[in-house]
Amino acid sequence: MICPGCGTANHPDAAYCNLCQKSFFPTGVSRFAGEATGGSPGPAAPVLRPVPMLSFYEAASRNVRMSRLLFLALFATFLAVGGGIGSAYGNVGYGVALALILYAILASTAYFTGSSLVLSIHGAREADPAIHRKLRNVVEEMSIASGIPMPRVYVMESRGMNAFAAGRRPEEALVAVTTGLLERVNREELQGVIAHEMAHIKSRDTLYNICAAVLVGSIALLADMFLRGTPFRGRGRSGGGGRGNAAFLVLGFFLAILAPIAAKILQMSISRQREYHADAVGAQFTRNPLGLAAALAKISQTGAGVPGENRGTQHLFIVNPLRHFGDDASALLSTHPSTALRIQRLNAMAGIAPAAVGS
Amino acid sequence: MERYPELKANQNVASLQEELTATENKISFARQFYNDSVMTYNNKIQSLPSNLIASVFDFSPAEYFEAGEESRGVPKADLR
Repeated sequence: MICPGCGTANHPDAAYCNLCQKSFFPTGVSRFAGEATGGSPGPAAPVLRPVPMLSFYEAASRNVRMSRLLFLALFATFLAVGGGIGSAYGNVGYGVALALILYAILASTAYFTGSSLVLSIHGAREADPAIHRKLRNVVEEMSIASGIPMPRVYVMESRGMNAFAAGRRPEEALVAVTTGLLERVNREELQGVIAHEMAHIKSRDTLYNICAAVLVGSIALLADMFLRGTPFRGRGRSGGGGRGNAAFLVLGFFLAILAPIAAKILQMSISRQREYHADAVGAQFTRNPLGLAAALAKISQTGAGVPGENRGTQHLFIVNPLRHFGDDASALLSTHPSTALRIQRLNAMAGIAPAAVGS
Repeated sequence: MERYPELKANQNVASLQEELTATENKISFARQFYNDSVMTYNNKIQSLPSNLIASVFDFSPAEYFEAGEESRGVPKADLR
């Protein structure tokens, strides 16, 4: 549908222009169902809480900021827990030094080899231009629509339907999709999925994801080390000066138990917000929220399994490969909102009143 | 493959179709990206605090790209 106001080509089913927000109907259908902009309100539809929309720049700078904060928080935690471990075994200095070395290794591994690590875990291979012509075309289209350079394209051999994006910066980003997804979606749906991934790249969610994964992973590692004391066994002067530093010990103990839980909850709640945000931004690229909605519906019917699926990388994917889709979206520890809720919001963006969803 | 000219023809047609669709989409997405950028820019020069700088340096609003009537239609590919 060509907007009479600004001449932008919109999706045929669109209720309003995606560029200038002009409504195509005289009564006026608002962006979110349940809050019609005049005329008689439609049938009692559940009011959706609008997703807080950030511009790319805001989202990107927030992600960069959050990533730095995470690295800082990680640094502080390592110091504290290292000190705690050290004091438990008689020498704070050794504990701190060990923690710093570990931190340096983990942080730089994550930052410099994060994406290639993820690729190899999931057995992704570069897409062959001859075979995956359509995929490469769609990625190129979306890179034009989003204004970021063409990312590298990878394919994972799997019957499950899934996709992820990775890369520290848009200039060195990559997207990977499963063969199961390629076989089952049509062009419009594929566009929706790729647009979602490009939105992650453009708003630097991929950078943040890598940082968050390291944070959570290494805090868990540290806590394990502290609680078991394995790396120190046999070396520590047990019964020496260690007992004097009870405060450090208590602090370390608290951190060791609470930090992994807190980090996990933080990572998950932020990850869910990001999924909604990427859905919305992706819809802005394709001008067609229904493509992604249809793809998500298909994914939830077929299953989203990927090779090498594990807890460490679950939050990277478009749909969580490990969780069941019926699970409650507000569950504190899920990385993704429930697919039904995401579809509902996408429909609302297209001006379609939400039907009864879920159950 | 050579023994099934129909199939081969169909695959050729299909890949041509794909290339046509892709090309058309790339053009329209490029226009869309341009217009999105114009909108962001125009909003910036009208809203605080960036409008202060914009007025000092005399930034003028950009114009949206509008395709001419003749280039809006779907291009035809005659396969006969």
